Amino acid sequence: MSLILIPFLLAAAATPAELSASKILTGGELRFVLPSEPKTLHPLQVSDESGELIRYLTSGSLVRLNRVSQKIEPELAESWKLGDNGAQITFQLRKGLKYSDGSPFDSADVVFTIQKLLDKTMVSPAAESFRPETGTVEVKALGATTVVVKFPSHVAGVERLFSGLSILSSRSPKKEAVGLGPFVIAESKAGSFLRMTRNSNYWKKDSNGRQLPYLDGIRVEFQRNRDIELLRFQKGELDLVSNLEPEAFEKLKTNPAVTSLDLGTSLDATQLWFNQVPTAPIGAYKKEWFGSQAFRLAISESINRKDMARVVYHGFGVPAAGSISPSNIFWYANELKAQEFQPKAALARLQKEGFRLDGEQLKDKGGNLVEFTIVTNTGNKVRERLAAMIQADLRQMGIKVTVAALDFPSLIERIMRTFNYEACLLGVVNTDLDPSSQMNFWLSSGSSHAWNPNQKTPVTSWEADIDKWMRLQSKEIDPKKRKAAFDKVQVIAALQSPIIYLINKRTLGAASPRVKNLKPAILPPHMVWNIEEIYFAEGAGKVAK
Amino acid sequence: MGLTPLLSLYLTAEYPGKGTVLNGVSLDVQAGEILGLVGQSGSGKSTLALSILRLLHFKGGSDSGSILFRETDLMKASEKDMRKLRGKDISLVMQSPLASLNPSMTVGNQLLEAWRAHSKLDGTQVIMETLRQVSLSVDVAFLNRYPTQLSVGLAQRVLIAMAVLHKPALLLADEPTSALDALTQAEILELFARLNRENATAMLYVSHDLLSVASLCHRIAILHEGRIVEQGEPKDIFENPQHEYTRKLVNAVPTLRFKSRELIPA
Amino acid sequence: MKLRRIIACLLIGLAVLLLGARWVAPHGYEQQFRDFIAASPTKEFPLGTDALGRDRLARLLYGSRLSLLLAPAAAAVSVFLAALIGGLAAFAGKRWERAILLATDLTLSLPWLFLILTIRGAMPLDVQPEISVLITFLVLGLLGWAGPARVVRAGVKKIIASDFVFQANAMGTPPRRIFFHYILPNVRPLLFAQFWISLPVFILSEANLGAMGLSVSEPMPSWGNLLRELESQTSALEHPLQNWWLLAPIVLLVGVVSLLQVWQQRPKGSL
Repeated sequence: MSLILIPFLLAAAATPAELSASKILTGGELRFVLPSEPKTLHPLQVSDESGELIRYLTSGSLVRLNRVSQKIEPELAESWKLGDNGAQITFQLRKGLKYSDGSPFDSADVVFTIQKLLDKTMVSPAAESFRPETGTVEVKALGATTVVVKFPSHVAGVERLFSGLSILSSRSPKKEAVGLGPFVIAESKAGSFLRMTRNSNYWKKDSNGRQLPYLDGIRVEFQRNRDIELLRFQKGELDLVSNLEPEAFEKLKTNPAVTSLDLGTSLDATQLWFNQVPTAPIGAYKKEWFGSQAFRLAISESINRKDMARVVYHGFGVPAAGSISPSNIFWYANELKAQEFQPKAALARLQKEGFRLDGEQLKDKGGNLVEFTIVTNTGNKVRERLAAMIQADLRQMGIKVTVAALDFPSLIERIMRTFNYEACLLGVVNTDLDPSSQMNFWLSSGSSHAWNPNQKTPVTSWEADIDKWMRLQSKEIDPKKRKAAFDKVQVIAALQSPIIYLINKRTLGAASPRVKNLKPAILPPHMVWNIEEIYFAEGAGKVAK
Repeated sequence: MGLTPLLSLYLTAEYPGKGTVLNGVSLDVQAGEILGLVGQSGSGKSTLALSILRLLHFKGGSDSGSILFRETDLMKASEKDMRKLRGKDISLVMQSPLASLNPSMTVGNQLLEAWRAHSKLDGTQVIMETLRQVSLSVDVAFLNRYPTQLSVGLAQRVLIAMAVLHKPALLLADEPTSALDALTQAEILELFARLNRENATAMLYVSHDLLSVASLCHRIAILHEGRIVEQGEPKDIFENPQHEYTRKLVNAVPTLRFKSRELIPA
Repeated sequence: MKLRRIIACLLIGLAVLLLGARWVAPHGYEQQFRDFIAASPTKEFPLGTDALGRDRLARLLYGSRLSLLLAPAAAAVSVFLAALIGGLAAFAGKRWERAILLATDLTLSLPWLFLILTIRGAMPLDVQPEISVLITFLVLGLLGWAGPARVVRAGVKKIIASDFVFQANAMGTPPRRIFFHYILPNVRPLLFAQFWISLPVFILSEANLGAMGLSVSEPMPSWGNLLRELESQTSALEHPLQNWWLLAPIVLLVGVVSLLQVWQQRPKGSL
């Protein structure tokens, strides 16, 4: 798989190494918009997208995922090594680092943070991947610069767990309000904005020995309406916009005063699946269709994904092959191909199963009309259009599809609790590259095993196979062997199509041309993950001394 | 006359908030007699008429006393009996003829409605006669008119026709001419007089206009501050008023003091 | 009146056009021409195509038909309820009247959006789009009684206190006859007026619901989801003349609602 394509970026930004020291300007305030206010600013407790971004900008972690290379890189820890068959990790910390209030950083802070995280009385979404089902996690300091974390058993890809973990200060009287990140929160007005200023104690320096970050500050405003956000961006009141819809992106592309950024295929996918829960309150003959591999494959073959990408995504989407996007460089199974549009093959496949066309309508071998309802959530224009296209494609096959748009809580109620639905069209957001985060989805006993969750024993042999390979993948230490096992899962999933993957949309954004050194990536925080290196080309700042 | 009166009442009536309007009013109406009841506006004249029909509660008032009609006390009569009586034995003509007609019903149907309230027989004949009696046209075009297409005078005649359809023994006329111009007023007064003559209908004629009452009625009662202050024949009232209020009323009547001698060339 | 006649002709003409949508519209409202996405008007597509390549003219005709058929039905339901409830309030004595007025105020302040959400959530999923839109309008109709009920109550009370009802009583007319021959016929013009007043309200309510994706489901068009498309067409609003075909639904909606408004403001007599 090729590297992510960032054509605009290559033209717009140069790496700092290419620039002479005098060209880099410091200062200025970067302005962008978030859709909602963070529910909490406590780094260990953030649960929403906004909170996650503020946490990222204001705190430091032991390691960091490079969003472009998708590799884990040293941060507060200058190195680490795995031991005890992947159940233990030892971090070597950098020396002489200081928190934003000047209090020193050492191994005691790391131990303090991890113990706090493991405290079961604290509600922390970040802690969930840390807390093992059985046994306890032990953490201890070996001197001021070494920390050992010991898990009860092997954890697949353990170092990535630490890339999202903000290290709190054990000594500072200001507690979690101080951080090791490039910025500190200076001012916040509820419901309106949050202003951050540069952390003068930040530890990172550029290749010329100049202290980072280059920017003086960041101003984040909270605004749910994306049309207003776009308007303000075009007026120059904002410096960045991300997660753009294709229509908005196309419009921005025609604006010469804006650098539009196609960051590449996202990890997120839109998917369709049929309800295979045996106790679901739907007709027995329908359960038989949905349980049939041939039926699912035929539906998959009847959907014209290329048309979807072209019509709904204006070309900024690619037909999806599976749960792993091709952008996930390491984990994507190269042999996977997105399903081609083959209505004739689909019809032949259905006929072999006893389905037949009666005039314009498809009937099953029992003479039942083939029709089903797709549920989706209201208010998502892209998804409604996809549903209408599926409807039109399947009508050609003699299948009548009804689309029911529900508000999100009732949709979740149906697909997770009452199982009173036939098929569901939803988008799935992936933020983690590692398949370990998908355990709960792939295991037949998992609670988010969408098509038939919480199975006591696998209902089908192929689900048993997937269980086997997923468990193997999680026990294995050698990344290559893990990859081989997970490739098997992806292939079985493609062959059985319990989930019909439709489209991976491209991640689209735009920036003002004066913002330099952007390294936009498909992974969040897409545009600002290298915030400490970003600077303004002219106007806002002053030439660095 | 010596006979038992057709109607003999002793009434006290009040409205919540307004206080007592009639304070022990005592009146007799003999069969075939026209009694005029005169008083200022607001003196309770209309209240009296409504009380007799036992409809005062419609306007929010309450009353007590006795109303002997043909020697039965209406105060003790059931609503069902009263309904049989209203429009048949005692009927009412009100002061705003246009508002008193159902706007969504033709003249013919209103008359029929009035007939059917008390009879299951075919009323066509009676209606035709009555219309003629009140000098109304009997052609279909007229009967198909809606109240909005009538003049006030015509509307009043229709109402009178409805009121006398069942040849009631007593007709209550509550300021029936106040909405009419002078000419029509005279015609309607003439009509009442004729109905009294031809049908022997007794009438309680309520008005503030002493002059018109005097021209029509056999007897006049003066109502002042909730009481009857004086009763008598028109001649006695005009020539020899006893009560101070009556005197005022009589003096207020515009005397036709134009110089007739100058008008008539002698 | 000449103006009213012209308006009636326009409305009838529109109705004929809509009822004949199948023959007037060049294509079906659900047919997707995927090679003509968001196209400008051509001979083939007189109003262009939408984001899925569907003929805008066909969608406008079918969508208008749906809205213009169901809004009167919903208005009729709500006015019928208003007549029953408002009438009861006027007749049934002080205690009932107070209870009903309270219920009316409550209904007026009800978060009806949540009610519609709940009802949609409770509906079986395989209901046809036709049925679901019918239910949406029915719910709108069922919820719309409160305003008109107040007017009806006031109107009925005025009629009960009127001279002609008093006269009927004085004639000894039985109560049943008074109700059917004196009160009901005179409430009727009031109900008609309420019907015409609430009609545009229902058309707009559906449009609002549709704008939130709560009305008709794909692929069926209605004024609601046609208007919803305009949301993302900010350029159409900035340059209305260059994008006139995008604004057709809004022009038609405003046009019809105003025509109905002018039409129902007839010079009227007593009530």
